[in-house]
Amino acid sequence: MFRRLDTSLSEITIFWEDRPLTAYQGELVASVLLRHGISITHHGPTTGSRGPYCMMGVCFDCLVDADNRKAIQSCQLVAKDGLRLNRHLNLAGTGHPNDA
Amino acid sequence: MMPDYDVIIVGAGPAGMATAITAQQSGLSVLVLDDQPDHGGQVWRDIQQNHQHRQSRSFLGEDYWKGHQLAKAFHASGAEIQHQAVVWQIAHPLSLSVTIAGIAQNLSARAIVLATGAYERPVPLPGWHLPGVMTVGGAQTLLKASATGADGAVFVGTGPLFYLTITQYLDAGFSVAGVCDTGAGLGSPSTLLALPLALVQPKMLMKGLRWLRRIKAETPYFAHVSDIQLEGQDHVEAVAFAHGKGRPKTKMRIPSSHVFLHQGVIPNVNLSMASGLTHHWHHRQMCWHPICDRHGASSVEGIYVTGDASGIAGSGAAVASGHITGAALAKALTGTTIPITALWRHRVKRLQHRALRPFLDRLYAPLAETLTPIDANTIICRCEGLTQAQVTAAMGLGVAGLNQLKAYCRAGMGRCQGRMCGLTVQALLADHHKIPIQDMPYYRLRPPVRPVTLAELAAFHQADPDI
Amino acid sequence: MEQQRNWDSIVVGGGLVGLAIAYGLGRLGRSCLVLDAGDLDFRAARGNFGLVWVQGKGSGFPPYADWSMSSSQSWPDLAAMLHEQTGAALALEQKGGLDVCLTEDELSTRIAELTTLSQHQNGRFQFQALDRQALAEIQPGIGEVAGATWSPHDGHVSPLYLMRGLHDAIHHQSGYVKTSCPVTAITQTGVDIQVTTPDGDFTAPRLVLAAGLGNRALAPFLGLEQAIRPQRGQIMVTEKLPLQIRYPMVTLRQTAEGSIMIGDSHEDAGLDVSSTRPVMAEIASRAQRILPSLSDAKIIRSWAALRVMSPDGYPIYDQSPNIAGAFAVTCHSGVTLAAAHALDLARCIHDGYLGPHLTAFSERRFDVSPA
Repeated sequence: MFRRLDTSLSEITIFWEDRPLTAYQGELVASVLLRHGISITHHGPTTGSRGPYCMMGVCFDCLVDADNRKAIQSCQLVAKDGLRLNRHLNLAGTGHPNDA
Repeated sequence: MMPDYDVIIVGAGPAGMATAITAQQSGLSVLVLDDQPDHGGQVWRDIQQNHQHRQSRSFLGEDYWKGHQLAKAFHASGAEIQHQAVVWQIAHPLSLSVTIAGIAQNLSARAIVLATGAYERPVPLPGWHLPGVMTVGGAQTLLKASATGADGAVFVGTGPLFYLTITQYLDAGFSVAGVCDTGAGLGSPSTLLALPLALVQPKMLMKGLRWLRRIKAETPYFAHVSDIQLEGQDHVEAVAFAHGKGRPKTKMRIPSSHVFLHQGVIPNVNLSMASGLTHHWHHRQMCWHPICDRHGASSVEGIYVTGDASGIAGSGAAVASGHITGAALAKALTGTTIPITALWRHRVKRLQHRALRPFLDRLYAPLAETLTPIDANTIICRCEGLTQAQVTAAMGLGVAGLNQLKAYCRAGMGRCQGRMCGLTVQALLADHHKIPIQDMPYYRLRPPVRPVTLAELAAFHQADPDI
Repeated sequence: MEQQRNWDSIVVGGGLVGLAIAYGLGRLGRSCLVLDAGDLDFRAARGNFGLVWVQGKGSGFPPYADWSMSSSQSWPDLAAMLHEQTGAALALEQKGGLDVCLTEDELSTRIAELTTLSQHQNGRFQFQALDRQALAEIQPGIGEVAGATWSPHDGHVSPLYLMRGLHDAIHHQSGYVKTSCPVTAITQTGVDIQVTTPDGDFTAPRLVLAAGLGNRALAPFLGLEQAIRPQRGQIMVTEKLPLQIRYPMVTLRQTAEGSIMIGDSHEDAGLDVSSTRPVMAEIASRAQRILPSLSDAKIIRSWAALRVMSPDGYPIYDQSPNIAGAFAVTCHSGVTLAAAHALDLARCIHDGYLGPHLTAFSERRFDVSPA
């Protein structure tokens, strides 16, 4: 389980699937989620379940839906008070017709 | 039309900041664009913020705090900086497209510097796609950016970043469930041959040895690890592997829901390739480097590449390179030169850091099974969820190269634009054709190198149809 | 396999045109060797949008209107054959398509054009004019447009699955696609035709030159000109999205995987295949006007490819006047015409002569004298 060592910064509240989570000023959303044991942020028909991997914006696996924007990289998103997040569900397509 | 700036630098890491300082000091107008909320790049991530809380973040270590000096000088230089700025295209006449706070803009310059650094080499092991598996760099970022870490993690890999992060974890007080060292050790002749040159930097070598000794003493440490499987269904649950020098190797399994992988870093070439720069395959580092002269000038006039983006040499070399590129810009754009002593100091520093590379690159060479995966279930293309079996089936049709392979199986078509699969696919296809890997050209990369919304792009046309 | 030097037919060019013809020849019992160039060469097939399109085709040239229509009608057969032989699913959908018009002028011009086309085809070609309201009913979220013309004959397919399927099927037929093998010379040797490549010579009684832009350099060996020139087209692709575009439009279509393809341009850019910002911005602007709901969709990659354009934009099919059994074929609609190429054109090539329905496509229509 991820835990934070320094809890001295001011706290804000963000929401994951309507559940309130404590975040710290300036904290990246991916970090908040991981601290609360949320390591699956998106599902898709070709990928299955995925979550943060690289923490620097190159893998595109930490996707979340943030307020009304879809498929945003949570490792590139700074938490702001009241932010509403949801798992990103990729509802497109049904996989590869040419599966080997 | 007057360009908006003399110099635009993409990336505010060690190289970017150093370039900005020297260029600005020479009287050039400089803009630095960085995609993170704070500058420092990856190695000195969040350096400003963390410096204010230095006591509670002492576990980050001395090398990290060195970045603060440069960040202060960068602030004092007067160079303009925009954070959370995502550059996605370079066009000619020289300009770039960047999105800041959801608005795409075109900025022109007399010179553009790519100081875009490096990212971790993909580590395609069976199960590497499972939630709970992250890169060691990612774990270190959580430590730097949020003073956050996980107890009971297993670290799998090798390399300076690998040992440093574990050391930071130990200093921070997190429990480590296992360290699976995939390095081959000093055994190989080519590694030993590179050692004398590396002795130019004895302190760095001693530091590495100290880290290793401590890790062996304070964690369940396994050497010569291979045959790695990351087990689990929807989440990683354990790491299974073989280890030791004995034949057969000893089998081992460590249960854990946090696994951190590392097999070295590689230059981030998507922007440089999409901008038409020529690249060459660096045999020892096993990755693509943009071809540049010693000032960082690339094959495209006006575009420079500096720091790890032009070849992996670490933060010390990156700072020196940045100053050297800044000096070259000053010379090229204003005719002024920086004091020769300063220039030589940077050159010597860079040489010293680079001297270590042949040794480090060989000592910490990536594990073979992570370069060309053999387990058919290994995910090769994370974005499209393609397994090694699916990619191999497409190769079996007889494809000449990566771009035709991409057309046949979709590898490389996802959001990451091949960052996570390109080198693996290249190695697999070269292997399939039985040709040396450097003879297999890479994906043909194009802008936008980072996703951009339709609205952002459309706004360009509406603002100026001829832009 | 490729060590075999004698084949029943050789196809120069492994793009959509070459592969479709090779597949068709294979079906007729001819062992077929396809000689394809390199991975980084100009490959029009990779830039293909995927439309199987009839409306508007050949409005100034009735044989092309007929050819496109009959190809579209035999497309389900091609898809079924490939599926049966290789298990490939091509994601073919022929439920109709839309040509969206942004202004009233555009719409009335379009309607006039299609009316003439329909008359030439004796009513075989059907279409409907839709005003914005009618269009909004079949495409929710349609933006500030005048309307569209709809045709039930139109559709789309995955061009990449098609290519892979053809390639696969050719292997099943004991044909062979040899990559990185450019052809440098073509000569007649007795009753056979011989091609020279860096990997040696190959011979066959039938040869098809289907090398796209590469045809220009090789056509003189066949006593032909193939006066084609490159025309750049740029495309952008979004991330995978929930299904929201029900019918393909000329510049917007949603693939089976969910990504939305956005096009396109017609540029004289020589052999430059860069993606350029002004064009990408213009394409984006047009797409946003047609479907404002796509505003927040993220573009994750772009493409540019060179169409193989003849002087009038219509296909060129010719038999060589100096080498018996050799043919040169070129077109820019490799997807729509794939069925016609695999079934009809391949049969003509197999038989050794192009039928009367193809005479109009000869380059003689340009009054060109062979080299």
